[in-house]
Amino acid sequence: MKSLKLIPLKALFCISLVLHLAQSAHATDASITIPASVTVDATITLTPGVDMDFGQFYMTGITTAENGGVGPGGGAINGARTVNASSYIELLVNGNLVSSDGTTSKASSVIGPGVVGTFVIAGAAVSTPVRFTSPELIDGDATAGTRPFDGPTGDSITFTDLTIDTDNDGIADNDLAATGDGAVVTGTTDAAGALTVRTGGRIYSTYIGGVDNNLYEAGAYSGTYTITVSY
Amino acid sequence: MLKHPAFVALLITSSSWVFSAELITQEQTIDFGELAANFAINSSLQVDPAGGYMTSGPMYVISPPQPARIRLSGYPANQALSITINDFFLVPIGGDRFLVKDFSLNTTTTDNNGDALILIGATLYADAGNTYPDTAYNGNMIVDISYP
Repeated sequence: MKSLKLIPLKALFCISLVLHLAQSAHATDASITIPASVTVDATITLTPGVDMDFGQFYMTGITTAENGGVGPGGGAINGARTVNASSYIELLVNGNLVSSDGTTSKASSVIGPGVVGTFVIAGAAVSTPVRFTSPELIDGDATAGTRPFDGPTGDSITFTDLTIDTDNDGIADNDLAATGDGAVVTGTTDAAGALTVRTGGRIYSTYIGGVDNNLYEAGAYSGTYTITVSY
Repeated sequence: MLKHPAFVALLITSSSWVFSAELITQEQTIDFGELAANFAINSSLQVDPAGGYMTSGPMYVISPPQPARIRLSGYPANQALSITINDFFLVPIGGDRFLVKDFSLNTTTTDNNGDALILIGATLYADAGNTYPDTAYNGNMIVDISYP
């Protein structure tokens, strides 16, 4: 009868050590592939609200002599925010109307309050500044772009000096100290990425004949203005 | 007949790795959310493992991003892991692609049970002048996990 031959203690230890080293030398390597994504949506949705309305007013045009220059007393209709020879009706962003006579031309509100223009931004980044630019925006420059408001006949009223209220406080947020590229108004979207904007501006009388106080023809005058919104 | 139980125990312990079931489970993809940007200059969106985020340059978050989340189980307890992630791109159908790199992790060590919940953050980069049309951009992040 054969007897069980035991492995010497020293040999057992060596086998164990070899196994252990074998385990230690084993590199466990695994990988996982995880989908990644992003969506770009740089489009800002703008929804027109209420049209800007200067109400009903009386206005006369200016004469040839006043239709020459730019700035105070120049009589120009180039968006000069300083007093000039043209009469104007100003629609403040709180809805109030202000009328101002020129050197010879006259303007006054007749019936009803003004209505500020509105439009709504939606789907923009939340709590994020957005920029409003327009050629007609008033700032510290001597001039701003103009848009004609056409009436029943060929004589137009000039719209310019666009103002924007982005925080609904009834005060224009235009920076009247900014010049050059300063014609930018900044607003901030709310926690839902939305913002309601209010607009105002001025309509100026223009040269409509060589006679002082040549009255504008009665009727509706309308036009458009453009505002670009961007991040 | 073995007279040394200590060695038997050692052998069993030594053999246990053969039967371990290491498992990696994806619990959440990495999603940089919905964003808008003025891509005229360089911009980026960094997502940290805890889900916080920050932008640089004119990049704006419309819906927030989220880090990736993977769960490890069956690993050795308290095991330090080597985790490697290569840079990759998020690609649209048309337009330029976003580069994703600079990864960050909440942990690289398993717990006492050999498990780990690994959160992976990263930064998405947009290069100035590239065109990024409004659309979805997709890619794959390959996470390699090893230990000695």
